[in-house]
Amino acid sequence: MINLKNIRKVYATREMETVALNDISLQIEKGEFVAVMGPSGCGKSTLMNILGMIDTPSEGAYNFDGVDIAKYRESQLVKMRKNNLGFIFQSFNLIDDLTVEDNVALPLRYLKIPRATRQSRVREALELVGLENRGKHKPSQLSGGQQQRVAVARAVIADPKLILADEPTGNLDSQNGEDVMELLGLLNQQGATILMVTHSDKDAAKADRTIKMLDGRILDHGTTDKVEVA
Amino acid sequence: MFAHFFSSALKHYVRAPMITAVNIFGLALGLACFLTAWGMSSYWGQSDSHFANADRTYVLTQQFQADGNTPRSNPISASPAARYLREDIPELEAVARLSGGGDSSLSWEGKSIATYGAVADPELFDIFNFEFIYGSADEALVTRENIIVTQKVAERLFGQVNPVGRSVVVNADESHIIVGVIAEIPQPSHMGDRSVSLRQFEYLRKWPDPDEGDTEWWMGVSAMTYMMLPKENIAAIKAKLDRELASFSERRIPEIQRNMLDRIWFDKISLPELQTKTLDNRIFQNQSNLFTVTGVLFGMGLIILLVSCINYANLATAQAAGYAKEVGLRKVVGAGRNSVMLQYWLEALILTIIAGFTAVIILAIMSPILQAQAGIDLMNGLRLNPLFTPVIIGLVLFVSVLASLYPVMFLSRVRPVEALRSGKIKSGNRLLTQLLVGTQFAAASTLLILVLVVGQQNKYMRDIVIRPDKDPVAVLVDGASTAIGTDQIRDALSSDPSIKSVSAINYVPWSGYVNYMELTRSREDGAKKATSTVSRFDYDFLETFQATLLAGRGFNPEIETWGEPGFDEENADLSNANVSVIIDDTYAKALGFETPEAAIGQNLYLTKQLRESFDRDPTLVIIGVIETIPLVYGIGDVRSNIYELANFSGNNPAIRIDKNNVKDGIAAIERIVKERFPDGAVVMRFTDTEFERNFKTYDGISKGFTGLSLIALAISSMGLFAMAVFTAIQRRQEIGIRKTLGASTWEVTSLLVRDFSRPVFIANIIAWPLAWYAATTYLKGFMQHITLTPIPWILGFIFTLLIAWLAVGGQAFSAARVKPAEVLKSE
Repeated sequence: MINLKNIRKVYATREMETVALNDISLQIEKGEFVAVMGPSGCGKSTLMNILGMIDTPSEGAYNFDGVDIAKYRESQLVKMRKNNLGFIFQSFNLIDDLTVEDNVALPLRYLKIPRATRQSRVREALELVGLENRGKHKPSQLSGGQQQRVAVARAVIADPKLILADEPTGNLDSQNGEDVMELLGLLNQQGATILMVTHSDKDAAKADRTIKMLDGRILDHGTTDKVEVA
Repeated sequence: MFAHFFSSALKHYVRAPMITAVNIFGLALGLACFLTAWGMSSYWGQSDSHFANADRTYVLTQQFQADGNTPRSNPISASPAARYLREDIPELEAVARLSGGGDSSLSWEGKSIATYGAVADPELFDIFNFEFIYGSADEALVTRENIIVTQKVAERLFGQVNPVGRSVVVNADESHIIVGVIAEIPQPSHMGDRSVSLRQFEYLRKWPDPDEGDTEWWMGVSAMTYMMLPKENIAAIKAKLDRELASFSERRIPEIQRNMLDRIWFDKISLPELQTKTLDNRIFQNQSNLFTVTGVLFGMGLIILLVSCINYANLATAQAAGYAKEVGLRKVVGAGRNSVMLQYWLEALILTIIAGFTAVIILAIMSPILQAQAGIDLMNGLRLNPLFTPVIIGLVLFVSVLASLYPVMFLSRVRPVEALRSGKIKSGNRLLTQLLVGTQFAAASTLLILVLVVGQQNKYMRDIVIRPDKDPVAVLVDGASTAIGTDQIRDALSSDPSIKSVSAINYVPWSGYVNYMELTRSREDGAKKATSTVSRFDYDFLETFQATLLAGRGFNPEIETWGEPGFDEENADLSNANVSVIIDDTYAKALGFETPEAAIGQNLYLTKQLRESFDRDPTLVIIGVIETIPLVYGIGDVRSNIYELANFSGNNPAIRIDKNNVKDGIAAIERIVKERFPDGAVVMRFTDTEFERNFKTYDGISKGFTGLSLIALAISSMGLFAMAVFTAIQRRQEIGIRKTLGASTWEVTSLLVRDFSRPVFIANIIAWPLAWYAATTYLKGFMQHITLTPIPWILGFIFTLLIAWLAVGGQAFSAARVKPAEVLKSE
């Protein structure tokens, strides 16, 4: 489903150039759950942003579901993004002024889904994450774990082809972290393709394979053999 | 430390030059508006203060109440009042009257000039210490033969010589000996030789004594009656004066005159307050006691100043979010809360000082304009005020504290740990900002609607009065012309091809004169009645004023008897008199006639109250209905006119001159007057130029509203711009999230613009009823006025919205173009 070929991302200032991604090639199949690991500054987030189409590569080709989007304009990327991707962030990134329901419904608004359909799908998504009674609350009234579950509901509501999770348990305690990982596992079982950036070996173990990065390069693409953690 | 703070402030200014400029200009506009309001009030407040006795001099007011209206204090009263004040309160050191004056000619040895004269009691010189260039106050106006002239008039007539003892002729028939020449009266004063002066005069004669047996007439008010209290025991005498004035009307006005109106009563205004109180009356048209000129001025000045402070607070808070890391670091290395507060207050103070200087430059530019438009010397008003320096220093300090209060408090509370972690902090309350911006726009929108309504009305008035397709009408106002009489002038000019028609009118059109009365359609109680203005014309007025006859006929010398030469109005038996009158179509409608034709031949009567008061019961027969001739501004709700015949001398001849031959027409008029009165100076007032001259007040209001609305709009837009900057920072994360989730730049831009439009929309809804109230109040001052339509309201809404979009569009677009990857990384 995803095919990255010789991707480079260079941040240039007047004094120097920083290579964030160096000749990255990567394939992700439909239905895969892929974890990306590596030390801080290794390019995980940059890779995630490029995969998430919120940043563009300096060089290389990005083929998403058979379409090369590396040279897409912003407006084309917006269209691709809202139709195909769901995001989960370490810091949740919910909009404080909107209710839980409105936060979850946001991707559907941008897809111009009619109100009635929106409401029923928001209800389903909140039921999925166990927050059906919290729809009218503001994010600030929820715990960190609950906020992340809202973010998961928002990520899945538009039925995306790929869910990108950037350290989804990074700001959560272990119990809430496990709950979120269980949710991701469940989504994956239901057919969602997931790419997750993480520092946690335990979380990475839940993925089908783990890509290891260092200094902007992929050291190890991982294997698809799933290892059950006891 | 201060040097360090100063250099930090400079760096901040340089880092954001546009915001710094907006801050300075916004504060400067606010300060300039406030100082203008203060300067104008101060100018009027200093009025007459150069007269030594100003603080113990009062002016009598005489109020009339009819139809439930409560007029404000008019500083004019009936002429008998002065005599009774002297009798009732002998403790008063002096009582004197000064008349309203009038156009007239002064001649000396064949040289004649047009001037504006007045009559006064000799005690006027006890109350007011006029500066005498020649002669002295001792002999001033002691006899009827005396005359006092102003220095300018003396120079115009005699050149640079002492004219005391010379004999001048007033209005070509009365000789007077000059006993004194007074210097120009220092302004601000209610007296002077300018047309804007409340009491205009260029020479003074003695107030004529009443003829033996004359009825004292209290219903006509033209005298300004001054009362000077003694220096000793002033409080007790003032209390006595108040007591006497409370019962003055009942004690002194004959009952028959008192009963003509609901109520007549007297009061007093202190001399220093005279200008401001009279302005209140003139500008607010007796419509409401809620407003005073100084109150409205100060209120608007203060609102605009507060708005500019809010703008500064908004922008500074928005900027402060970006200084958080710097403040956090300062705190880590030892800066206390007070030190942070002092630093950012100093930053505001420096900007406010620069804004203060900018404001003074703005005032210096505006001052000559205000002087030309309204005769107000703004800079002098400020400079002469002893409080100027302390107030301006206090104002700058106050504004710097007020404007910086919120951002300073906000920065001083920054927690270093938060600030150092992300470099940013969440700042401010968006709802509060929206509310404040909304308030600014409500003021701007109200003013903008008023600009449109006032502009529409002023154009409408010009269109109906200034008619290039019609011949000009000259009204002769000098004594010589009126003495000749309309019939003689008509005969003399009948063969002149440049003169189309000659009539006369009992007042100068657009001069502010208005006389009105209430008539009914039958003598029965409860009969239909309506109020109209009353104008008196000579024959041929329809032709002269080029009126359109809708039904019936004009006055015909073969038929009419009323007002013929020698007619003694006072002594005629009018109980059964038939009087021909012409009415306008508005009055016909008000009286309930369905068509103009239906009114012809119908009778009108005085109301029961007037019948009893006048002890007369004439029958007024409607002989003609015409389209309104616009000649007066109007008063209260009176919208219609009645035209009576007056063919006696003393009226002002009105002459229609061929529009293609105006020069010859004027020469012909001057020739026939000079033939009869070689010393007479012809003073003619063209109705259209007279309208333009008197319309200056309304033009001034229009310009004032335009200026204020532009300033309010400019400041509001700056406020909105500040909000846009503020929002762009505050909502960065939200914009990033929305874009990540699929929002396009256009969708985010339109979301932000929609959000910014909300306070403008709500502001307009708040402004609509306010503007409606103000607009109807303004229109009530005109007899002919436009019908209010929603167009000014719609245009005002669209315009404020467009301005708002212009102010925020760029910011919203650049905020919406933010790259989500950058935002979400930093968050």
